[in-house]
Amino acid sequence: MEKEKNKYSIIVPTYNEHINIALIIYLIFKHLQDVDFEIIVVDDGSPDGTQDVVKQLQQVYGEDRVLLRPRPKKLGLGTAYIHGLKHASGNFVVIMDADLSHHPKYLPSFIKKQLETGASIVTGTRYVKGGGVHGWNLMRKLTSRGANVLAQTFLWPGVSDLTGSFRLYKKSVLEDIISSVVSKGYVFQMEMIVRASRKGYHIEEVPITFVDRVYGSSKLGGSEIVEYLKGLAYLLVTT
Amino acid sequence: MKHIVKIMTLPLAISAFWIGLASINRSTYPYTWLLPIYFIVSLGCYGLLMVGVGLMQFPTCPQEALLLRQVLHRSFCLDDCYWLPFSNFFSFSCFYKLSTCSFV
Repeated sequence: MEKEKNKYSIIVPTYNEHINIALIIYLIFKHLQDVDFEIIVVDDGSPDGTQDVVKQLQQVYGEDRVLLRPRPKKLGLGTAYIHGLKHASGNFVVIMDADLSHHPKYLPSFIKKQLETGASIVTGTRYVKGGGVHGWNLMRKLTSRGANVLAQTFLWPGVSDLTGSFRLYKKSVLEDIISSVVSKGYVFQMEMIVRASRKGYHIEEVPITFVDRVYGSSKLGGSEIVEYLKGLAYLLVTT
Repeated sequence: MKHIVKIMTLPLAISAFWIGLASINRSTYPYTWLLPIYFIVSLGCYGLLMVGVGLMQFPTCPQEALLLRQVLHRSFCLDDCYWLPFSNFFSFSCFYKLSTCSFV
């Protein structure tokens, strides 16, 4: 009964994802068949025709189910969510990546977990039983573990996966948190969940798998590590 | 309360304990001055141990990559192009394949 009342707005920020966006929308419709939802594609002026693909998909699935809300140029991930949020009509918001590292088959488990627990946020975690990562070399795993141990030791966030970006929020909660988040890039997701945790929101986790692109942009260099450490210090003194 | 305050209470409490010990007659506890070093070393060991254990138990999912590949292949005949490393050829190849497969 409650399931019927809820509407889920799935915000998918894109940049040059003309192949993946078609796949992801197809897979969302495949896996969410008895749920009221809309997909909001926030495209940052991709030159590869992502928006044309989305327009074609709108003709197939309907403009009320697939919403295209483009922006003129790359303006960052945080503002993409804010932009999508303005157009969201659901009482729940899901954010996910468009590059297929987040599989839509996990969406029902997010919804089920939220309905069971009444959580304000359900976050996908790669680091528990049933979750996992594919496509990372030893160095990437080592960096990830080191970053995680640092964050768990100093921030006590109460969740096992801080930097994952596959999450379901109550819309009001997302609006509340996102207005106070200032970080960009890698630290953005971590700041979101830490601030939510500090505000006392009920956060639940579900296991997800993360299949990184074999030939993609998942690079983690020295500058990202420095940014991460700066973000960690910032969160330590401001939250 | 800011998180930094919570975190700092622990080293402060340890420092207070240490100063207390250090102020007692040195002949009773002659190695008191070494305690901060022990503390830092054990903190480092804890960090290394946690990273090591995390690395050993790092959950992987090669079967998910295979499943995704199968889904792509079944749905869109994208098996080849999705995994190609050359970006220009990647786009061209996929567009060609999309137009020839039963897409949308």
